[in-house]
Amino acid sequence: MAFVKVCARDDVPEGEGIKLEQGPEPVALFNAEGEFYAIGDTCTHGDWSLSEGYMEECEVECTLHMAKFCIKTGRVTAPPATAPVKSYPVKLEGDDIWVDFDAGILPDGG
Amino acid sequence: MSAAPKSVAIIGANLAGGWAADTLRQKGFEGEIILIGEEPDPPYERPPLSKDLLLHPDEMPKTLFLHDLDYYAQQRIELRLGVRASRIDLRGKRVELADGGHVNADRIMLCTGGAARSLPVPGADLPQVHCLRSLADSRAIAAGLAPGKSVVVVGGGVIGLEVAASAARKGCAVSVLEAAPALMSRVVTPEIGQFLLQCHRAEGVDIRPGEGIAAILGESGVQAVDTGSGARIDADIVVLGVGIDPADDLARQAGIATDNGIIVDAHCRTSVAEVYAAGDVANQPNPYLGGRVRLENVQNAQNQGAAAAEAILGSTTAFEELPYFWTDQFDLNVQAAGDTRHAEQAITRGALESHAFSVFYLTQGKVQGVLTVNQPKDMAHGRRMIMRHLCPDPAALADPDSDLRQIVKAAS
Ligand SMILES: Cc1cc2nc3c(=O)[nH]c(=O)nc-3n(C[C@H](O)[C@H](O)[C@H](O)COP(=O)(O)OP(=O)(O)OC[C@H]3O[C@@H](n4cnc5c(N)ncnc54)[C@H](O)[C@@H]3O)c2cc1C
Ligand code: FES
Repeated sequence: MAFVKVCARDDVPEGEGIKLEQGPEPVALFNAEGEFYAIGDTCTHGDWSLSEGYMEECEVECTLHMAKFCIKTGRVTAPPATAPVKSYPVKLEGDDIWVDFDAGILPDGG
Repeated sequence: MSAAPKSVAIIGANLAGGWAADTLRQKGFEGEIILIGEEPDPPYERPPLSKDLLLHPDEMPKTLFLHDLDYYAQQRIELRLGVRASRIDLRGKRVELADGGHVNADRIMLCTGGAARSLPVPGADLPQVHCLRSLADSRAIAAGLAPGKSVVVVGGGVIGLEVAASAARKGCAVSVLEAAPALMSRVVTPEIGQFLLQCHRAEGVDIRPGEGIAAILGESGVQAVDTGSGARIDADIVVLGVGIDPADDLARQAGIATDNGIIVDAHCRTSVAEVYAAGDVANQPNPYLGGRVRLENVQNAQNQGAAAAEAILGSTTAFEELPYFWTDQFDLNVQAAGDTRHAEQAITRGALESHAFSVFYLTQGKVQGVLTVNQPKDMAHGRRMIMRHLCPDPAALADPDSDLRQIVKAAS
């Protein structure tokens, strides 16, 4: 599989995330001032959706126990999580957003 | 200032100790790290002990342990588990262990947490009377929970109510005795205590505020409980959720200042140079609560442990975090931050009956506390309101359709 069209730009409000379920694992897609980033949606601490999280600058805070992840790389930036999530390639074509669900990668060294 | 440390001994291998050890390494400390713990397990999270692990004792929560044993080996963190530190020798810079061994270290960190209290009532030594602090306690309680069993929980605080909820979900007949007139009164307002009481009653839990325990009855096993007011309740198992005492005896014996825990400054330093403390055992000034406090929650243990590690490595940043905790009972996720109990005004956003609402606590217009029930994202906004000392428009806060992000922005 390669890139899949997932939604329109307008579907993701600025500063928020949405959950994508077209791939094998749920993915959270975030809009950071018009830049779009996709990372694994399931917090590695418990089972909470990061698309429901609180996004600030380039981090998303899990709203259950406040772990933070970098939305560009999937790296953990605050505990209690210790394991990273994957990041997925995103491309924009016109008003459409495409995500490659098969090309998720974990950050180097967690 | 003394020379940079070459070795750090951490006493107490749970959240504060575990995060402290990890942080020392992550921040580039190359010396020896020795993590000493009385429990047989490496650092683990206690929250599942009263929740998932009582409901599903055979399913390991995915992040029970902070790290697996291999991780500690890779990070050259020496684990000395299953052994109690019996004495601190300040002059000799060593920690003596109950097995006769000892550990030498330039710096000592006390992360000894707390021990669950027992009660001086007849019958408290019967085998089916449990406290809940460790994995072993949780397993023992879980083994006694089955449909139709009668469970008496003593204490309507966070742990008692979580056990009550889990036991009720397991099909047990559950009673809760709480000596105070309201539930969870150390951490929430009477109104929220009343809300929780109604939720528990609606789930069939027999909650008795203003009621103490007089005796636990039974010959070889628990049969009943006599309450302070003279009622008798059948019981197969009794769980005591009556708080913890800070494990500050080692510190006291060594002449380190204690007063409801080990006294530390904003850098987690005790009264004795080169000895630090963090977690449930540490009593530290907190700017948000306006005085010294000894907090008993995950976020504090984790982040204060990490802050103490950084202080050992020379950081001069004070640890001044906004206090925060959560509890899960039935389908309620309750989170609270800051001071929710002493505010002038409480603004409720959403209806209590919906089981999804938030309360913002204001004093002179300024948000000083936030409590959310099944509205975790409101907490993310609310915490920022407190940390940024904002005075948002109360009418806007109260409107569940308003956008909290906009409210934060408008008040900033
Ligand atoms: C059942 C339960 C549920 C909880 N749920 C929540 C929750 O939902 N949310 C929340 O925020 N908080 C919760 N908490 C609180 C949280 O778990 C504690 O705040 C946290 O564990 C404190 O960590 P700590 O490392 O400071 O101390 P502790 O967890 O008490 O650990 C201290 C460790 O030190 C060891 N020790 C003590 N003395 C010695 C010695 N002399 N030598 C060697 N080892 C020693 C002890 O054996 C222990 O392992 C819960 C606690 C319990 C018990
Ligand atoms: S589930 Fe995300 S921090 Fe705990």
